[in-house]
This record gives sequence, structure tokens and C-alpha cells, in this order.
Amino acid sequence: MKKTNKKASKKKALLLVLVCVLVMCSALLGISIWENQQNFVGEQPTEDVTVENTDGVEYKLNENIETVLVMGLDKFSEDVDSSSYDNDQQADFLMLFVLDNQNKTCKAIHINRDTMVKMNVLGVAGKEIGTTTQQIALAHTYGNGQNVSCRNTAKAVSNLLDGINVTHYVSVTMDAVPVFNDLVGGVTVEVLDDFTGIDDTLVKGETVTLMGDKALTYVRNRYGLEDSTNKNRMIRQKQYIEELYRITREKAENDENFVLSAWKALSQYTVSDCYEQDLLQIYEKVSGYEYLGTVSIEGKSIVGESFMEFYPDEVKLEELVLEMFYVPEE
Amino acid sequence: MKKIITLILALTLAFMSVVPALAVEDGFVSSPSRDDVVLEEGKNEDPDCTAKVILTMFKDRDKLAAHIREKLQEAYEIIMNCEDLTTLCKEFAAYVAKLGLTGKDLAVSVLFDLSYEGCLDHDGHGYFNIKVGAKNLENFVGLLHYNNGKWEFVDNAKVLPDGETLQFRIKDFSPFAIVVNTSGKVPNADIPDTDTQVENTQMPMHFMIGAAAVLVSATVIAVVFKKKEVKE
Repeated sequence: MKKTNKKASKKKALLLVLVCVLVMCSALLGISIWENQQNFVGEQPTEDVTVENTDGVEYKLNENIETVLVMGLDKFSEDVDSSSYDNDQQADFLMLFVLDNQNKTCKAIHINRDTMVKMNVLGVAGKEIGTTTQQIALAHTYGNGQNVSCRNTAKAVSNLLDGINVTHYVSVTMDAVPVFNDLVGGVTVEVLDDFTGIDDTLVKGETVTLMGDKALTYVRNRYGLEDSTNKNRMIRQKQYIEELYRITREKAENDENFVLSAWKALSQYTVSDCYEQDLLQIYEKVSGYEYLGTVSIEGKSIVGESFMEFYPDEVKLEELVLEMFYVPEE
Repeated sequence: MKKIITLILALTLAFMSVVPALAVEDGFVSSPSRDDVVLEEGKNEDPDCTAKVILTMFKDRDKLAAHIREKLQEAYEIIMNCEDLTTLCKEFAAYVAKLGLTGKDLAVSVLFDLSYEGCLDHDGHGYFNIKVGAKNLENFVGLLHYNNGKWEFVDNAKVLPDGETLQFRIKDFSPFAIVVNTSGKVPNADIPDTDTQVENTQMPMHFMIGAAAVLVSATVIAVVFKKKEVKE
């Protein structure tokens, strides 16, 4: 009897151990799955001319694509100091315009300023001294705050988008926003957030025409709002930019001098690799293109050690790059 | 048996509840800032010294007194116009040669000023032990000090095992420049001055959870066996 009882006890104990091990494994598997969902865009490969997607179709880089990176800096022009090897102007707004010169279309990729990406670190004499992974907005803080910083940011965007070439760049300081806004006669939007306590004239749900500093408040502010994340701010920025773009095109169609006079008003707030004539030529080309809208990169925001970090969904990003910059191999 | 299964289920639920706790928190999260060098420690060897060490990045030099700002600007212009950093200081040149590197392999990653306030007799107090947190120290070569119009090599500067802290001992203040290797070449290993081994002292999370689960399982088994013994 005793032997039978002992055998039964041993069996029960073994069963118990098995159950515990299974539970432990399930827990570890669950955590592993959760961690993998924090898709991190790691090191980007160098430019691939031909890629193969999951359907077995081969794609090649579209040679008719031209890109223009527009950066909105988080400083006013009077606060800009270009006499150092580094600066504190972050590229809070990043939009990459993708021009298809063959199909005559224009699309835009709105990039979250908190996107974690590998970027070059520049030393005192502007030399590349290494790389680091941090929020893409910080790429602009390396360099003199002008062309060097813009090129560094363009390189970071290129790293994010699988080595895609950024053809041109334009950076603007915050004071350019009310200037251009008023030049087009104001931008009308339905207010998407409650700005009570910040600007009581911006009431959620109401349609207002933004003028002067109100425009800057609308696209810039997040502190004090119910949803103070950059992701939420990007929704307002996209709304504003799309309406601004529409109005600008109308103005340019009705007034042949509009673009030139706009450029003259904005040039003191702008840094670009293009001369005035180059930018005008780009605009004239684009004005005849069909605007296909703005896309944002899908992913997940988490709070890192101290600051927000955005990790693009690797699969969705790859699909976006393929769709925007590649064509099927004939 | 029911109690044991309930306990195990409760523990599993506890593990799973860790996941949402790590999700995005509500509330304002401020924008990141970039501090390439941060002062972590600045103490004089003499306990009577009341000096407070201040670190100022080059881009913030406007905060400095005019005569200190001038020196920092001078140091910056020398670096900007210097094609070969080994020409700045003979001792540094000799050290770089020992590492098997040349001036072309080097660059200054950070330029900053160290000054002090709050002590009138610091000259008599001796040396300061300084620790600064800095980035890109994995390629650290040396620390240069611009003192009285000349560049000096701070040969006691070393990177601590965490890979992010530079420690050195100085008597005089003013501009300092961290020099790094940009060539990708591996310097000669027999120079003992820097230690860039990074010790990972953090236990992986999976190991901790696994260990906790094993401990709980062992406790449960022991309790069950004891109960059986008592019954028999």
C-alpha cells in the first residue's frame, strides 16, 4: 500500500513540476512576443538597386524620383547661433516630399520627430566621429545649425528609409510659419484639440482661420493639451500643411509673382542646398503635379529612459519604401 | 491541488500584468536634449576646498566670463585650423604613435570648459578629481587641455568600465578637448591607460523571471511533499 502511495505521490509531483515549467515557458514566450512588437528599425542596408518582395516580384529603384526634405526647426531665427560646431535647434517637423517626375505626382512622408534612427555624430571640425541611435530630431543638432546640420538630418532620413537618396533640403525656423501663413491670407482649419488655457479662441470642433502667431500655436503647441504627444501634434500639422499647400497652389496659379515674393519673405528664415532659382524651378514643376496626399510611418511610441521614442513597424516601413521608391523590374 | 493551480495562475497573471505597465504613460513627455558631456563629479583632494566645478559646452560659451570665453574661442579656432592634432602637443604625438595611429586618424569630439567658483584658495588645495559623462568614448584616444596658450596632454585620463564616463585629475582649469579615433583602426592594445571594457551588470529580464518561476515551483513542490508526509 505504502509503495503504491509513494508511486502516486511521485507521479503527482512530476506532473506538478511539468505544469510549473509550462507556465514559466508561457510567461517567457508572452514577454518575448511583446518585446518583438517593439519593432526597431536597426541598421539600414546600403542602397539596393533590386529587391524582391514577399510575392516573389523583383523591384528596382525608381530613377524618376526626386525628394525634398522640409525641416521645421524649434527655434526662432534670432536665437540661432551658427558659430559653433553643434547647436540646439532640433528638427521638430520633418516632411519628405517625393516627386515622381515620370508620372507627375507628388506625395509626402510625414516623419515623427521621435523616430529612433541611426545617425552620424559630428565632431568639432565637422568630421564624422561615429554614430548613435536617438530621436531623428536630434540629427540637426550636430553641425553648425545650417547646411552641415541639414545634411546630417538628410542622412538620418536616408538611413531610416533604407538608404534612399534625399535630393534637396530646406529648413525653416519657427518665425517662418506666421509669415507664410499670412502671405497666403490665412489657413482655415477645424480645430482638432482643446486649446483652453493656451489660446481660448481655438475651440475644439470650431472652424477658424488661423492668422499670425495663432498658426504657430496651432502647429507647435502640445504642452497643456489633453493629448500632449508628438503623434497627436502631427495630426494637426498634417491637416495644416495639406490646407496650406492647397491654398499656396491656388495663389500661385492666380499670381505669377506669388512664389518669388513668398521666397523673398521667407529666405531670411530658411537654409537650403538650393539657390532661389532652383527652388522656383522645383515649385514650377510640382505645381503641375497631382498631389496624392501625406502618409505617416506606422509604429509605436514608448517612453524611453527619459524621453519619447518612436519605433517604426519594420514590415510597414519596408512596404512604404517599396511603394514610394521602387518599381517592378520589367 | 486546487490551491496550487490557483497560485500558479495568479503568478502567471502577475507576469502578464508587467507588460501593460511598460506601455506609454499618460502625461507630458518633454523633448530630448543633447548633452554630449555632463559633469558627474568635480571634487578637490583637499576636504577643506569649497570650490564648485562648472562645465560649460562650447555652444554655451556666452555664459562664461569674457576672459574665459576668449580662451575657449581660441582653443576652438586652433582645432578648426589644425589638420593634424598630434602637432598640438609632443607628449600627445608620442602617445598616438605608440597606439599605432596618426594625426589623420583623429578628431576632437567635444570641446568644453571647466571652471570653478566658491573657493578663493583653490591653488593651495591641490588636484581635482573630475568625472564627466560623455558619448562616443568607445573610440577615446586622449584628453587635451588648453592651458596658458599651450596644449597639454592629460595622460591620466581614462574611460571607466561603464564606457560612458571619463575620469581625470587636474590642477588647472580652462578648455578641454576629447580626442577620438575615427579611422576604425584598432589601436595597439598594450597601452594600459584606457579601459573601455563595458561590463554588463544587468541581469537579463528573462533570466530573472525564469529564476523566480523556478523558485516558486520548488517552494510549491516542497509544500506539497511536506503535506503528503504529514498525511502519511
